Amino acid sequence: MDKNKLSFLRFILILTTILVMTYSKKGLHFGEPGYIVACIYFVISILLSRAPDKILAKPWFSFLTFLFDIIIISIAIYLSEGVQTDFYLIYFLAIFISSVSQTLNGSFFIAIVASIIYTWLLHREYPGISFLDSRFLIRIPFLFIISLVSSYWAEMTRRELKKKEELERFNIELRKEVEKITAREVELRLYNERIINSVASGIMVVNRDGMITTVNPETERSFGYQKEELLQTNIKNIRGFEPLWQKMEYAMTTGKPIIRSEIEILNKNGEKIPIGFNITLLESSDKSIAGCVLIFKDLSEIRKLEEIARQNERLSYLGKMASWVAHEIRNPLTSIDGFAQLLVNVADREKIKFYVEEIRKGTNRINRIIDDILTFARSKKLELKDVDLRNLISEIVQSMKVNIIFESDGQTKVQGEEESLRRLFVNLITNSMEAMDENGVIRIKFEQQDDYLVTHVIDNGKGIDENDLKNIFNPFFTTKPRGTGLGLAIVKKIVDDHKGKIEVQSILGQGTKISVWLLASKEV
Amino acid sequence: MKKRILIVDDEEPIRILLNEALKDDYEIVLCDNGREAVKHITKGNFDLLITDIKMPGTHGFEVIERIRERNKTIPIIVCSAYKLLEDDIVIKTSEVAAFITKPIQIDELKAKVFELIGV
Repeated sequence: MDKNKLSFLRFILILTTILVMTYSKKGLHFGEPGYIVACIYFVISILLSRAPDKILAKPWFSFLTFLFDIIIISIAIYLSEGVQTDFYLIYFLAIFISSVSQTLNGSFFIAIVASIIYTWLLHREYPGISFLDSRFLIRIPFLFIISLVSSYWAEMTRRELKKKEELERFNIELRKEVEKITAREVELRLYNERIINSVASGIMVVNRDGMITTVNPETERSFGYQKEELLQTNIKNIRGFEPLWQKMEYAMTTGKPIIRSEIEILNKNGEKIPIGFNITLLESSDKSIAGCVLIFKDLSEIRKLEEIARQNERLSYLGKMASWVAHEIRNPLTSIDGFAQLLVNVADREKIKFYVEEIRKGTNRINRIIDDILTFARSKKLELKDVDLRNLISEIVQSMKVNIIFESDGQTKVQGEEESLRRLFVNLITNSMEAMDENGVIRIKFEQQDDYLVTHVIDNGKGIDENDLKNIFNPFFTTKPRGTGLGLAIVKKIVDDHKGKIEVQSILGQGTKISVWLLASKEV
Repeated sequence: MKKRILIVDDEEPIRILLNEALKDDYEIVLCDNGREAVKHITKGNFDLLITDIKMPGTHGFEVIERIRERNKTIPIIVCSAYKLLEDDIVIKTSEVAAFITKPIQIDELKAKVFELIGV
């Protein structure tokens, strides 16, 4: 029970006591002992109610207060008119108030004290009164019943109150916790948004149906759309995004993320933009696929820079080529022109024949050089047909004095242009032959790898130096005394034209393995 | 006795051509690389050297340098397809008597040879 309620109840007790004293037979008269006791009781009670909360809350203080009440009430009874009247009822009120404000033990003790004083007062009033008198038998047990019942009721009320208070406290704590979690969630969401917005790559999240749920500023910049135009829009309905949706659908259907892939899509202005991207899957709480996350990089700038680099490289090659052409053409031209000059003054038929032969050798050589230049420099689109590489290489080696061993585990057909491929393998086999002595053997091994047929040309020749290895496909790079430096550059060009790949492995003194990836024929 | 000329060129048709052009008046020795040329000069008694510049193995400049270490007087004619090299060669070495650009004018060559060593 709080301090105010208790003060109020005690105030009622004091007033009742003073009222009863006033209307007793003896009444209250100024200066008489009863009047003084009433005044003291009133003043002390006021002082007690002003005691600090810390002391008021102590059980012993409460107990002493009620003990004081019982004693004052007993003195009031004694001084006014004794216990023969209804004055004793104030004991009930005192015990009731003490019971509701403290524990059962305290109020029970107060009841004992009250009973003892009441018994004493009764004996004083009626000496020799029996304990079996109704004034004992009925009133004293009632003091204890009041104490018990009101203590029980007070305890129950206290418990209810405590429960309510606990519940309220719990509610408050719960509310605080919810507020804290909400604040943390908002902060986390803002933090995540800040991260997504700060990433230099484009990020786009779509759900299982293709609805766009998240985009970052880089996505807006790359695709040219505003955030509002993308969010809650189905990616299937955006013009030029179809290839992207196909990839996303594939990833979500198969459950396989797509890593480091490239694709071209249309931006808002309808311009093609190349993007390098990863698609990862977004799982829901039940582990099913809820959507996917696209992280991409706009490659337009990189492509432009690559194109500039390629142009610079082409210009550099052009310079080298001009110098190479000048030298390579002038040598045969020297013999052509020189023998032509000699022809003027020669009459001997045999000599004329010899000189003309030299002139023809010179023109043939110039022709071959021009062929090489054209093959290297041409950019015409190839007309692809099925070509059986085994047959082609067999034809090539028929005229060459070389031992070839074929190894194959299946079909040997590729999609390509026969003349280009012939040139490619003539150059490779010629290189291998030149790297070996007379007893050398070339192994041609065919191997299927996904959509490709890989042709390995393996020789047991002298091998290529590690420093030279990185330059062998560069035009005009040669390690041969009479090499033009265009042979392997042409090979690389043909492989590139066929959208294939070429790799070289070589160990000095042991041999070289050149592997060429070409798209396998679709024909089975 | 005919004067002796050493001709160094890695291109066989050029060697044949120079031989055909000069063999009537001079004794010609042909070789296809710089190292051989240095050996020939060291061993034999030559009156003139005609050399190419771009050759496999030993480069023409190196050939000239090595020959000059052994023989200070033999006249050298450089015969190269690199016209632009003419200035370089003149700058690099004052030991070259003449520079002839390919394609060669046979009469011009003969005249230069005659001017240098006579017949």
